[in-house]
Amino acid sequence: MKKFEYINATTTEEAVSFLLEDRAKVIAGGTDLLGSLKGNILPHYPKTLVNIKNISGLDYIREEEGMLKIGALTKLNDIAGNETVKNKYAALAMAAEKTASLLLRNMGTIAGNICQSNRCWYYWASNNYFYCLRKEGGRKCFALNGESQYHSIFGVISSCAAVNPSDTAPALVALDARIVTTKRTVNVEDFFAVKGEKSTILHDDELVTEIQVPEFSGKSTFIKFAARKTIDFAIMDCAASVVDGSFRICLNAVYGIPKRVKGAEEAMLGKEINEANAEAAGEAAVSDARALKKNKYKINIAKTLVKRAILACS
Amino acid sequence: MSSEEIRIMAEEFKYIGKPVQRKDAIGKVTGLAKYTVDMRFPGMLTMRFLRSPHAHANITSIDVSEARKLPGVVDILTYKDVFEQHGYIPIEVGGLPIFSLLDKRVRYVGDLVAAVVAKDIYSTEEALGHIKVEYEVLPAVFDVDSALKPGAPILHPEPETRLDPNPDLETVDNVIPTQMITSFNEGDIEKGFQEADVIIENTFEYDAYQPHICLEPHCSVVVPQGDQLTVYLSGQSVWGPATAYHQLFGPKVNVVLPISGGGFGSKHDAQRENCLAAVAAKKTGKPIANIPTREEEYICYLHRCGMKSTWKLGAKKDGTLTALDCHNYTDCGAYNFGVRVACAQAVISSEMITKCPNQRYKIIPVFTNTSPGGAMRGYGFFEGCFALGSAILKLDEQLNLDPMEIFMKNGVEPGDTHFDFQTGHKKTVSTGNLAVTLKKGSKIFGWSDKWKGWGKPLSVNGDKRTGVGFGVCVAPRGGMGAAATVHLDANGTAKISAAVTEMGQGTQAALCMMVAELLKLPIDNVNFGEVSTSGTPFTAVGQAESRSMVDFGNALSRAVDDAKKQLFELGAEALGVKTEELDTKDGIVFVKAKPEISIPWLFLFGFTASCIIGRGDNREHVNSLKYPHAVPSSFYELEVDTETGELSIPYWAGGVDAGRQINPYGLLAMYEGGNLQGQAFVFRERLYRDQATGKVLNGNMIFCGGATIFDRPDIMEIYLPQEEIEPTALFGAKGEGEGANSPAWGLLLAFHNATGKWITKLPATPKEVLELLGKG
Repeated sequence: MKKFEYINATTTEEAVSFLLEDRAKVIAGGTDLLGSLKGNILPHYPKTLVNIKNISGLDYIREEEGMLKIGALTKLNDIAGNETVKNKYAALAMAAEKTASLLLRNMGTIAGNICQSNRCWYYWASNNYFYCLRKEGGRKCFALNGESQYHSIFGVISSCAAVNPSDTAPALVALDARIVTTKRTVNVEDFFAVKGEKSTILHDDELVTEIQVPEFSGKSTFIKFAARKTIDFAIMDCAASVVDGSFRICLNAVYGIPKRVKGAEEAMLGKEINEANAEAAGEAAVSDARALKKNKYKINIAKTLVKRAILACS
Repeated sequence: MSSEEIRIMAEEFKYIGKPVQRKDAIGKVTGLAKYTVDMRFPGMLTMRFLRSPHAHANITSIDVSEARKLPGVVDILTYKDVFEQHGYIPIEVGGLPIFSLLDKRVRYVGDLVAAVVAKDIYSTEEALGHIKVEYEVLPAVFDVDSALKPGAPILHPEPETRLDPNPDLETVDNVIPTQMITSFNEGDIEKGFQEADVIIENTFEYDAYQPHICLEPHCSVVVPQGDQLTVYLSGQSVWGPATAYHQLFGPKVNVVLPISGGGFGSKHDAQRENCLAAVAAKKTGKPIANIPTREEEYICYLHRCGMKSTWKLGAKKDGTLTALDCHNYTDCGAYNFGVRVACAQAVISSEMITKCPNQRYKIIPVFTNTSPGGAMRGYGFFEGCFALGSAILKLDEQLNLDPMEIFMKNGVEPGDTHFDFQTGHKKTVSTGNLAVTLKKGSKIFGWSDKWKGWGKPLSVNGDKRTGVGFGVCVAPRGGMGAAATVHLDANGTAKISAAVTEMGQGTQAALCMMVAELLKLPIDNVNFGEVSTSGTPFTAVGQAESRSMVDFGNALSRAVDDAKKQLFELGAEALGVKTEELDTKDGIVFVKAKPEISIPWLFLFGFTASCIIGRGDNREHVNSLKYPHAVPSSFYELEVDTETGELSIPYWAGGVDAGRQINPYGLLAMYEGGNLQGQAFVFRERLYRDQATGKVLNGNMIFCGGATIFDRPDIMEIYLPQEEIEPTALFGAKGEGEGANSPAWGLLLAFHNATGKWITKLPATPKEVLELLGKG
């Protein structure tokens, strides 16, 4: 790790003002950022880290105005253990509970989890060994002709084949959440509507302040498929929710952003939740999938997870 | 074994076989135990390395002048400073000069280019970016087949590092020079195949390059005091690494091994990086810490080698083996860290089926431009067991026999012989019985009820199919040199000096129990001395091949005999009786027939400040023609999710014939942990390399983590096949260690049973599983 300046912000306004300075990065739980500093994978090493952990009033879970509101600095473990979230927004509680390990869930925040960077091996190679197109001035995706077993099965975004690794993001998509930032309030799908060089639409001087989930009276679920039973980033996630026969289904770790599979949702419209219909919906979910050289197997997993998530909503 | 020991064995043991809490336990679980990585000294500097971005290149120019000027930077070493002074260094006692600490040629992505010494980690890392290097990039080879092709680039053409120095470079290839036997024949292989009703050939690829993932990296802290150096090293062998340090600086180096955070085979050698820390400490006169990053630990400090193992078997219709022909290629990476042994150990897995009369073996260890391989738990044995185990099972299947048939018919039993690759001698198996172990395991697991036939699963539940399988291996134990002393102190305590490291495995604790039993002392009164070159007798090989219980047990047995002899001579004089009339207990010497006639050690030799030191060694067992075999075994129910490729184990029953149990807690934990590691090899662990550059892509705990407790089988049951007393080992204990992971090849049978497919390449991640099932 190289030297950097560490500034404690006490308000979001203060934090944003520090972030306007050259090569400043925000740090909350730090579980994502510190690894990138140790590995020296950012094209410009930050001069300043702006600590937002001490900003008060951003750590809460409450129901008001017909929605669930979660403060940006709320720890994943608090979400996983919250009775309201567990009872009414099960997919989110399950996703938070499946993220990383207990120790990391006690450090990691919900905003950090949805803003995290991808986990492409080439992007993360230390000291920018592979200067890929996610790095400023990089022009090539090394994974396309390399070890692509954990990469996208729904094509590239601006030639990048990396996938979004967040566990909570697909749950928030399935629950039709909104993201409140210091500048705007956007639908969660729009929050991830990026061109590939970044993970979210956030500007350098913009912070997430709150997650809003509309009152939800249906059923929801979340499935994580990973190499180990704890800690690992997902090989694939699937979250699903259903209200009055209408599904929202989202896969993650399959594409550069969380992948809502509308084909599967449509296939289930007005249909009974049973093995055959769920199977057909799973097939519909991957109808536009196209494998890279080493990840055809992920298509089978994707259709299986969609099917199982639907069945779990019965 | 002396008559005294046999007599003790007949009595009720006080400690042997009883659960005794280890002395190191509290310090480890509270975090107060001090590891090498915790060492701090005034003025301590830190070291970091510039590493090669190229898989194969010559350094044509290197300029450190700018980096030297940066604040905090104390020194920078390149090949110019190091090679001319120190030349090539051997890594093991009596070994070949293998490598230079810093070379003009780099041989893998991550190879050493320069070493920066600075006041803190930030300054070292800053300096690395300011060293200017130009390379002449050379063609590279990333696998055994390419490395052996005519005209392939040669990694080590230097005559000094060859076994048979040959100035004619044209004849040099990438096969690693070895002093070992590289081929072995017994019987008539052609005749054996002619007699066979069925011949089957099976190639198993182990492309895993699996990391050790020791919790403490392979670090060292070097402290210079005048011309003396003290090296604190996280290691698993003290005299092995000392070879390199003594070659560099002569005998004024004390190598100290505090408790070590895991070894698994990775820490037999000092490694070039730790040697460079010593060079820099000597040069700067300051203490220097080399604490590798986790990525360096994965990529540059050894991992399991790649292997390609072909076994051709011939058998009669009834399963009697007539011929066994094995070719084993090992990808050792860019440097030779004893991996030729791994190559040989792989074929020694055939000790499980000693009855085959016609056998032929060939081992070919090969250099490639990949990160260096080394010993890893099993040292090739694990890989060999997979290949041979699969080959035998396929033969069983083809002959439509029960999967246990060939093992039962041809399996090792006491009195069988097998060749030894180190010496070429035939050795006799002292204890170890494959059939007995399998029968015991079958009964506990319920094999006869659960085995429904080849390719017929135990159960099918939707997408999930459960199959059953068993794995077994026969692991030779001991037979290498070991020296030990036992000091009797007049206050009624004893201390052991032996080059036995504590790296989690608990051998020190077990040896203390044995000595407490032999001397009839409370366990708290027996201590293990510091493990260092200044504190332990020379022993060439450290904690390798799970040998320590047998070899150091025997050395300590002799040492205790020697100490008792001296003690009873003093006692006989003091009490006016004959030495054979005496015994000792709780630090008191007494007359056996009249225990009231006694004298405490304190009065016997305390006030004269006499010193009783018993010395012992293992010489009568070194290269002995008779030696023990442990027999680990595992039975699995494996659940295959046929749509996601996920593998999980609802039920596992495992057991090991380890001779007499010394510390049952330790034995069970060792076996459980070993099994979990074996399972992880099968399911997951592998370092992946970018094929264009040769760069390892997932060398860290996030992308390639070890098994956690959550990954254990749902139900685990451990059995002891028999407590067979090994006559050539102290208390009959064979110990347990590496073999615990090797029966994991039973998972391949369970997979075949569940799906009808054979896994022939490890690991079998969901990708490989779904591809095998035609869904990927």
